[in-house]
Amino acid sequence: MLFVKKGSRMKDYDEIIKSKFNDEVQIISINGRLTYDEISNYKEKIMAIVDNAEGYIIDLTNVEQIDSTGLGLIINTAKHFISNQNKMVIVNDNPLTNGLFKISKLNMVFNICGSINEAMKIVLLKDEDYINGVKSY
Amino acid sequence: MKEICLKIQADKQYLKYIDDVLLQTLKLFNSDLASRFHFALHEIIINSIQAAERDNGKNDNTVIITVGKDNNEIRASVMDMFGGMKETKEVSKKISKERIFEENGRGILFIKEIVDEYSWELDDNGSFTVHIVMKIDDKC
Repeated sequence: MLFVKKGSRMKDYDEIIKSKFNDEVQIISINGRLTYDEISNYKEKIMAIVDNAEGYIIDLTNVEQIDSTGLGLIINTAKHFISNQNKMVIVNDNPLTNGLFKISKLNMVFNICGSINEAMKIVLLKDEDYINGVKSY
Repeated sequence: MKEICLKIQADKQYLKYIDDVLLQTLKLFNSDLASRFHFALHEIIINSIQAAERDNGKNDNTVIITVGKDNNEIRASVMDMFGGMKETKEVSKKISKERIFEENGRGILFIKEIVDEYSWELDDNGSFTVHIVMKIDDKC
């Protein structure tokens, strides 16, 4: 039997989930593990930092590991933005995660790109030019 | 055949440690396939942990994880006493438009897409084992 000492170190979720504004766009960056053991701590934190903005970018480029529950969190957050008619782009450069988006067809309903710069261009499109993947599904 | 076996408690506080050990082992087995195989294995393990949480201490919460490699494939099995993933055997490989925004229910779908073989067995003694296999030759 493998015994592991229970961790007592408090995590700094301000370091794990960061938010900054760039041209009225809120960029929410997630760092570290987006996995079942951490997810309940992230849910509250993410929604708490969402502020009024022209558009939103969820940056996953520093996510070390993601699982189906982490993907569920991203879906939930992205769904919140889309249902409020907000512009939203996910930034991801991990091939495995991109594969998961494809398997679950989320690449057809969310705007997903590989860099913040690319995401900024999409989010800052005029309303009439912006299209969520969901409209083309 | 190279093989390691981990006997763990089905508790999410140990998940990072388990992930670290398994990923390092899989990288030694085959660095090209390690991330994808590890993703599938992690999904099976979290299903066991979730089943243990639902079980609420009625059964032994031990989970036995075995990972092995031979010339042609990497294989893993995860055994628990909670009935694990059997309820998900009917999950389709396709995800419908109606279910696309659902927060849960993708784990098995991902596993089936990622690995070459997926099977499960329920023994008379109540132990439930999931097996996954990924072939090496055609992917490297």
